[in-house]
Amino acid sequence: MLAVIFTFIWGIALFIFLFYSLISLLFRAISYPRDFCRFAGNQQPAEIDKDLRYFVIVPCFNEAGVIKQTLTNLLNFDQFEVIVVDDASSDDSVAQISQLNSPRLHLLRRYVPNAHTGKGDVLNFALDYICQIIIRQKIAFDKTIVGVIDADARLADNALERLNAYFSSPQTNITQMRVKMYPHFKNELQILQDIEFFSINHMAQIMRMYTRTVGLSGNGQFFRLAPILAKIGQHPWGNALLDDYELTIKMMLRQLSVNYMTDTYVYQEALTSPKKFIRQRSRWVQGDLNCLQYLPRIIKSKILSRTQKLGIYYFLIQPWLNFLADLAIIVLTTIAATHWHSLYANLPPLTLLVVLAGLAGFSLFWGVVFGIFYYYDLYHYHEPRLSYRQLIILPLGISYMYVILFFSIIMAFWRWGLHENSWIKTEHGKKES
Amino acid sequence: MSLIDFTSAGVAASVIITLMVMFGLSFVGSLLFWLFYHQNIKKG
Repeated sequence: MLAVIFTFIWGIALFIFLFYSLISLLFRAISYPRDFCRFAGNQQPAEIDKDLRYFVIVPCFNEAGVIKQTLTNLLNFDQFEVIVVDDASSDDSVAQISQLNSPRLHLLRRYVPNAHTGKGDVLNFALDYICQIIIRQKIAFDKTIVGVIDADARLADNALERLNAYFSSPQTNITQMRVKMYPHFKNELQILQDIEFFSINHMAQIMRMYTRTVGLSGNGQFFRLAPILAKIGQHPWGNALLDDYELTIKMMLRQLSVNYMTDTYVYQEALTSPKKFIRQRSRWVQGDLNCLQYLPRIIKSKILSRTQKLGIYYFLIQPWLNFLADLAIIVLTTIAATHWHSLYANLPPLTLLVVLAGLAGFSLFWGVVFGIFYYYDLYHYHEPRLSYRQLIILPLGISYMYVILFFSIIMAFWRWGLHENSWIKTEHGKKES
Repeated sequence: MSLIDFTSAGVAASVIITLMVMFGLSFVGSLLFWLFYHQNIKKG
């Protein structure tokens, strides 16, 4: 009976995963090359709006290892005013920031007990400051563009050019850049994170462009201030641990649609330690669970289309689906292993070989597909290529990367159940032990 | 305990057919979804 129940759960999860992956693949492979220039994020307007003013917020908590380099990169874009918010760091982040002398760099500091209350609060704090500046300098709210960049990030060289092109159209309001990990990887875990962001998530975001369900990813989000203040309020970010998707839901509920930029990207640091990777992902899963508070409003919403609702439901159901699917895989594998003899001992060797080969091929299918797209993406954007050894193990890594994420799901449900909503910060720029 | 008796041709065939149907349904469903939405893009 147990085997039947878990086989049923596994079947449903597999069907949903296949459906989602296949539609993403169809949009990526067929529609995207045809529609590349029709994407709002890739458009080329007749005239660039020269009055746009950019304010880029960089939240900073114990980022001494990376913050100076990040700010230097951002200040290279001459239209950017950079607002870095130190959230009561205990390392020498502030000293590192203070070494940079630029009138376009603004350092804001938060102190305990008002600090360490979450990324949403930090971003809202910076937004208050930006509003003060633009009121003082009489900058138009609809010409003010606010961006959020992580403390470990670097923008691609064409980022400002693409942003100017995007925001020069008065109809465009919010965009999310493609995300990539820094190249020159130290281990395979970093490559897997790069594939996940640069190719797999990219594929999903392309599909979401067609269904109007593009999600913000935290790092590399830019929006026009006027519609956000008018429709969401002075403090748009909430307290969910996944502040970016929470903001996405709020925007969608207020009829603000997010666009996606495919032709420029923001680099961020990939983690090298599995332990830190699991902690980071557990925060994301818990943040997804936090977003369940919006479910009644989403269900009742008359603004959201059925497809948009479906897109949000899919996102909200993911932790539960992944938990049940992983549990089913563990239970079924245990049953198969403990009943090995009665299951397979009577099979002729050739049949057994065919069954095992079939299972291996089946499990590696998406690893191969995503690996091909990733290889093509690296080639297309002149990014450093992978070695032959890395290429060979790529499908295996992609197919089985999610196994270790089971621990992050358990951790997230545990913390969520205990109402432990403290921020599990990802450390950047530190040597892994 | 016999869970899925692969030595029985009938059971083995039904498992394989179920998997193939699942694949087929996912493919047809996603193709229909794509056909419905593939023009649904608006320039900003």
